[in-house]
Amino acid sequence: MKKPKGKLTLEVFFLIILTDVIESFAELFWKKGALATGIDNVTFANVTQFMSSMLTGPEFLTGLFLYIVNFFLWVTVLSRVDLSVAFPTGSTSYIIVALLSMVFLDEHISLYRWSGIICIITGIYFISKSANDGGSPA
Amino acid sequence: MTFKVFFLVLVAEACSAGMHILFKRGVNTLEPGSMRSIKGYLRFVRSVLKNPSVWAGLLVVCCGMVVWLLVLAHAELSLAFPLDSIQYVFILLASAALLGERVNRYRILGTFFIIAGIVLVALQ
Repeated sequence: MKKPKGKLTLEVFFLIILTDVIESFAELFWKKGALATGIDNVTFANVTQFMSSMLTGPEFLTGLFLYIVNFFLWVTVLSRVDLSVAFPTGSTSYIIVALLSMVFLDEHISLYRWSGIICIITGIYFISKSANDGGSPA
Repeated sequence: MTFKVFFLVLVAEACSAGMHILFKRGVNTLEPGSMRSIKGYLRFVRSVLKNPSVWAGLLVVCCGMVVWLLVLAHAELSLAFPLDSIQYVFILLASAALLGERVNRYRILGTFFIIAGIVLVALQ
């Protein structure tokens, strides 16, 4: 079944960024949850203990809730644009994390990081160009 | 990072790529979701929840998440970051091969710029 290829509109772009920000938070909660179990080396012997401690913790459940919200946002995005457009566009989150840690955590952004940020912006420009100048009707 | 952790990360990344492909395959058969009206959006949500390919994607990602939990207990989150870039290659190839998306030169170029950018950002 062929659907017309959707353009990367500003609305879809913001939805993609939103899903990536939410995902970063969900991952952070799960990481905190894994640390909270106090088990730093999971083996066959303690995997059950690790899982039962992890899966009932508030950090895990908060992360799970965020993942569920994200699921609906992400399928909405996918219903509108190509996967090969939506997925790489999500790398905007790397820029957001870098800028946020500069502003709020006073982290220094190295020359490497700045050039990485410029590379990512260039990449997203090319991706949106491939989606929007394709000539196929939206 | 030990070989075991590296292997686990690869499995988790492959599950995640599989999830995106199954989701996309599923929603390709639906009308695009619009958030302009609540009723219209609920109709979209309902058709998503009735889609077998979407459920297959959720199943795959549940397996992937269990693997992720094991990874997170081992490695620093920052170590897993550069390996994330493998995903971009997986997704680009699979979009063309399995989903029939028109991957043109700009899209390939853009994806490689992004991978290079992520590696540079991770170098710190």
